Amino acid sequence: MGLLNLALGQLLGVFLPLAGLLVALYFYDRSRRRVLVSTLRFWPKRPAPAVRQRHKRIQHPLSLLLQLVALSLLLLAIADPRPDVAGAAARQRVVLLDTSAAAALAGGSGSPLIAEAKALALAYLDSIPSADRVLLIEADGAPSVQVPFTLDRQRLREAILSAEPGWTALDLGAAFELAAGTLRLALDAGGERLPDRSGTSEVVYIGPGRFSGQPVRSGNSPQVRYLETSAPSDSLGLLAFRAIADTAEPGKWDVALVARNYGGDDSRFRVDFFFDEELLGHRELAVSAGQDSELRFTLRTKRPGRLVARSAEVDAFEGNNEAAIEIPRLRRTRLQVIGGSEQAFEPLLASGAHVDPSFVDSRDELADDAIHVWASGGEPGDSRRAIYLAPPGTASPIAAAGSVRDLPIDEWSASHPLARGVRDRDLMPRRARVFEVRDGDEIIAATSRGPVVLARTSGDRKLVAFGFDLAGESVRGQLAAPLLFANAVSWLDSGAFRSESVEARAPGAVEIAAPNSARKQISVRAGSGASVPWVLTEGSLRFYAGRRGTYRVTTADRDVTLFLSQPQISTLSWNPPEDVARGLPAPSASGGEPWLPWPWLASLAAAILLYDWIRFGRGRRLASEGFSLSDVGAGEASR
Amino acid sequence: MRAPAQLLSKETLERLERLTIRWRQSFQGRIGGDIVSRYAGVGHEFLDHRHFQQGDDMRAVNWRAYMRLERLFLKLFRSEPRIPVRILIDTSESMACGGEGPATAKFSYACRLAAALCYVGLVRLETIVLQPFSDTLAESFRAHGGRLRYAQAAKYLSGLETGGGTAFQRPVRDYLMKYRVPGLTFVLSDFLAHGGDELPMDHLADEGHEVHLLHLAGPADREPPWRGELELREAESDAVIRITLDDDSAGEYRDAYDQFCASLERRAARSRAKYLHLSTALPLEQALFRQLAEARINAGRAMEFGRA
Repeated sequence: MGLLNLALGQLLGVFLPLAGLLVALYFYDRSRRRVLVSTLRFWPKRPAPAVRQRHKRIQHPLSLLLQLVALSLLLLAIADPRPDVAGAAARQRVVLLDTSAAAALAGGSGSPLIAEAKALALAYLDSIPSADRVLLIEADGAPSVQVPFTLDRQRLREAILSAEPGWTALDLGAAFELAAGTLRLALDAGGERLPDRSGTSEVVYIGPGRFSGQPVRSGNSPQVRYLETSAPSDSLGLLAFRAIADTAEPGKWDVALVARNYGGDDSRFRVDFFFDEELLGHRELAVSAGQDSELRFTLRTKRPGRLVARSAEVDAFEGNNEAAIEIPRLRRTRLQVIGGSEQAFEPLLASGAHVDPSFVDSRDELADDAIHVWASGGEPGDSRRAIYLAPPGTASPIAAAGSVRDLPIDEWSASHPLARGVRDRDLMPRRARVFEVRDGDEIIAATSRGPVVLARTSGDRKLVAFGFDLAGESVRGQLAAPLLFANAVSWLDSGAFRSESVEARAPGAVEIAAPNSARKQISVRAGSGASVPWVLTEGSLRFYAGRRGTYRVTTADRDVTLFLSQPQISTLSWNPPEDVARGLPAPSASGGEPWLPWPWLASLAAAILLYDWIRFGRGRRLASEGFSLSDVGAGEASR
Repeated sequence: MRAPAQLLSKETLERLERLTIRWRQSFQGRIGGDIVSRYAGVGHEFLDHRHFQQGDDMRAVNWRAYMRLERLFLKLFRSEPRIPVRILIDTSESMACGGEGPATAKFSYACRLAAALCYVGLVRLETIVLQPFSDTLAESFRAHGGRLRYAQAAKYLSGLETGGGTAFQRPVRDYLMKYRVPGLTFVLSDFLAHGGDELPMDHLADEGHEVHLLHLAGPADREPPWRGELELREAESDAVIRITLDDDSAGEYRDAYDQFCASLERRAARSRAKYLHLSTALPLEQALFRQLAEARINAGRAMEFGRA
């Protein structure tokens, strides 16, 4: 027999002050109150009974005794005595319930493995002594404590029954580490290795044993038990499904599908592909046992839609039989050329497939969201984003200081995106204007007489001015001309030449190559818009997403949309060491529901208090000892 | 204990203007009761003309008639009886008890009740004497001349304090010596005199006074709210008894108090005095407009009971 909530010293420390207070209140209740009255003529003239004179003494010792007994019983009920709590005999147990994606697979009986795991966990609870404290951890890619150490079996059962399989693979090593950490705290072992106290603690893993990540080390726990469910019977799973946009041909997507054969035999699967619920076709996929296989094809579409890959193979687990990605809207940069001919601009516009050019004659046709190309010869206007080709000396947003003839461009601003890849010192326009440089202007190219290519940024306005006509006969045929024009369009519209990809895959650790990206160019956001923490190491962007959802990743030159929807099921099976116990422990003699004496103690205390109130309550006490005023009233009436 | 600074509200005073103080008996040398006088005398209401005679008051000559008729006529007015109204206020220490706080103490209630009666009398141009007493008569205050004098009376009442014990024999003797002209006498008291001293109502009646006993009682005077072990201290004598009080014994106490009230009422009836028991738990306005009106100490409407 032991006290669960209070030690004996604590119990006495609470009882003694309360008992003193009770005795003080008892005497106070029986002390006289002083009252000022108008007259005493209606009150008795005889002295108070002798028992009243010594009211400071205990008048009803049995009443006081009953109250003290009731108080002690109430405190004892709060202390919660348990017949089988005896300190060292109680054990700390950690239950690792596998809630990884593998737990959703069907077992041998056809029911999900999580159901088997729950039944084993409940059976384990029933087999251990009721005095043992149990901690419940739901083990998946990020193990977490669901119920801290408790004796409340009902709470544990409810938590076990409410557990659902997740979408990440089991990190069994992390689960054992977490279990060892909680045991260290429970056994007050600090950061030291767990003391070898045989029988004081146990870690129980319940699940199919499919894990990923680092090799499992369970040796830090004094005792490990493995309650194994039946082997999963899944045959095929779609691991990843991605589509990468072709930068050269708008509307062309390179699609890849990765499937895994969980079965024991080589097999061929048929996968159907749908685009916006319309069947595109199907492919046969040959996958070796326990291996992955990848299928590639090209999709051409200029409209957005939902691309779905669905396995025709029906197995027990449908969660990974389908993968879906959203093909985004085709993105093209709108370009409006004012005053130029299609023939002259053809060499320049051929450089970018993502450019949607149009030729207009009137300024009224200009759209605000387009890049305006003011061709040579006309009078340029003001635009938010514009390319000026050989603008006139006056009436131009970028003023010219003069002009040069047959002078080579011998200086390029290599660090500027506009001059990326251009090293041509032979680019020699027949005639070029030399610009005046203002504050904030960036010189992209210059001759010995002055700058001939300028970039200007002012608020949300971005202008590029070429002192020579890029579409002119003397320049457009040169190698650097299309590159310069493409650089200008790319600088004016940062998304014009970015690559784009969408991918459906499993939640968990995500790694994306970002070799040319600076930290400020990277952003990772969840579908809700919340920023997700990430790290950039050796050109690889890494972050962890433990839940299903959509994530958008932006690097210097890529936009990646991730649909983390595929369950992550590992093919690695845990082979526990020999010292790991298997199966349910032998039922304990004190197993099952413990007898809890505290309700009885509380009820007994209430009964005693009720008896005390009835037997010694104020009304009863005064009624039995009250005085009579009949003689006083009679005397008054006779007057 | 001091009387409350604010005795009556403005609204209460406005309602009090509808009331008047009544009396029943005829007083020696006065036109009696509620009968309107047919005799000429000092008054405000015109009665008749008569020829001027030697020795008449020249101020009553109708000069307009003289200018027209060149004969002297004298204006006669209806005689209005003036009965002195005297209010005896018990200021003994027992008056400070019995309530559940200063607001419901008997003394506060008595001062507010006296102020109300004083205002009713002043409105009807009566002369009101406020006479505090405990074991002796204290200095009195005479109020007359209309409602404008009420402020002085209220100030006087607010300055009263409790003190001393209750006695009736000596104060009544002094009262009869001091006020020889009989009139209306209100006694506002708890009548809890120390040592069995009782109000000699017969003496007052024999001297021609019409006596109204307003017996004030606090809630605790009749129903002690306490239970258990008590040490009771009498306010006037500091005498102490120790008792244990429960519901049954409190009931017996209440019976004894009721018998005391009944005996007081019987003695008042024998002395042709009016008796009214007022609990301080009763709102003052309810006491004025219901209890006192039902006891016919005041009248609900001045016109109905108005006097000539």
